[in-house]
Amino acid sequence: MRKYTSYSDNELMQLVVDKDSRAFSELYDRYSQMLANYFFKMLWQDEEKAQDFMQDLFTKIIEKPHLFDLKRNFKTWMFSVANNMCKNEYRKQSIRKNTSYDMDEGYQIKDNQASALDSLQDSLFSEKLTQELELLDEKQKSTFVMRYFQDMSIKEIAQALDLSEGTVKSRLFYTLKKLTVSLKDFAPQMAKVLLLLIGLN
Amino acid sequence: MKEDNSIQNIDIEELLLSKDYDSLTMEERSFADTQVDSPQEYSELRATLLSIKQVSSDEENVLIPHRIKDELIQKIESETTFFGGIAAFLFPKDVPLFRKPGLQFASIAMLLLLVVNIGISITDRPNAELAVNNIKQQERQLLLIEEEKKEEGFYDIEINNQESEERKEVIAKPEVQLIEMDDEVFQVEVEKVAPANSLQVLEKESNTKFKKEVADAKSAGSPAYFDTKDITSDLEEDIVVTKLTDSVVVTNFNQSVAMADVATTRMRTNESTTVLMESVTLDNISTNGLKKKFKSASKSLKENEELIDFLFVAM
Repeated sequence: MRKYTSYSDNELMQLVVDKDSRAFSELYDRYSQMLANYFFKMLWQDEEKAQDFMQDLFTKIIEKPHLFDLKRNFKTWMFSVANNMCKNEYRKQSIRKNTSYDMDEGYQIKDNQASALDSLQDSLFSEKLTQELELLDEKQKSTFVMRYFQDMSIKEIAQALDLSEGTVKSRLFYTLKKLTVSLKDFAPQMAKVLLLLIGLN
Repeated sequence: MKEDNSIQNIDIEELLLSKDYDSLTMEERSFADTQVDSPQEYSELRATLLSIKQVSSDEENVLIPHRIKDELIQKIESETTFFGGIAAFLFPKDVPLFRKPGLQFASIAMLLLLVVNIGISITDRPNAELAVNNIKQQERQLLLIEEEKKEEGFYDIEINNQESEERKEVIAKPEVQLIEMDDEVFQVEVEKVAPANSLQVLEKESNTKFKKEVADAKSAGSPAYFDTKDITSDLEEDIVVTKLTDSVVVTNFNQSVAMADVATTRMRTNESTTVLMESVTLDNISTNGLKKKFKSASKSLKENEELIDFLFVAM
């Protein structure tokens, strides 16, 4: 008998349709951390909210597994569901108006923590990056988080967000440009680059 | 924000991650120049991207309480239905087709069915042939009735197609009854008629006069006796006693006795009446003056026509 770890996502999902708890457990082990991190990044670094959303998503998979089209890639389908959940949450929280307040409140503590690690440029960059991500457009943010924090391929992102690969690429590039403007003073690699540029000159 | 799709062919991200500006080939550099304003911008983008990559790889995972998994597993197990469990047992997903218990059970059942059928066909062939019966249910019932009637002495089945296919009459085979009265034995033929409808028999015999008399008697609501000497030639020596209601109709018993004096009494009645006929006859044929007339049974009805008319008038 095959081990569940050897099953593909879609094979496991077929078993989940038949309420196979072991198959579900395997899927959970594969994607729970990834989804929690995604929700954490997308939902204002709120760990509790990220846990709740991750649990909600897996509850949906249990209750309505037939909604999954077996022809699709499970990972991209799951992230598209996750992305829609985030969109709904943005609407609920009137994200446009409240983001700065929530973020500032949320990062007050982290800023204090960062002050203790002031010497560590990586941490500074990380904190600044997190702040800048919150200011991004929801579409750019989801694309960026999927690409650089979930290690999803361009193709997977395109499927999850129902976009063309070219659109994903261009969206990522312009997001990168935008972030570079606001992060260039914090980037650890920037020192090397500057040194290199000085050396070249 | 306006999104430029012209960078689809060459992946700028790959260039940024893999090469600094000076390492780019001429083709790559010309492409990069279309995307960035200067080599410095390229370098800044590259630095940012590398930093992001590093940060993301160092990113700490969100802690997930184990209770979440427990709750979810509990939920999926609670949703497992009884029939779903049976189906999962019979057709497990992770075994080859021939090893699925459901298919194995089905194969065994089909094999048993085949063996039993072969056994039956070999050992019980006549029965198997009899089992093929295309006769309709209605016809089958009629045939059963016919068989029962035949066993009881009925000999004929007539179907009146003009009235209805379902209406049938069974004319009884004449039976000979011996009536013993005052040390003398009389032979009486009793013809049984099926319980269907005695009027149908009369219609078949095309005796309008008789039909009219029967109809009149019915409308009058009184039981009646009918002289059948004029009905048909083969019945002219008979006395027909018909039953119009559930009660036996032999009210004119004197006349019937008189007729019986010259001929063998032939009675047409239905099955249920037959028994009663016998009792009625025995009860009523007690007139001493009629004894001798019963003895001369060889005389025809025609020969006693005058006597019958006389009796009829006397009534």
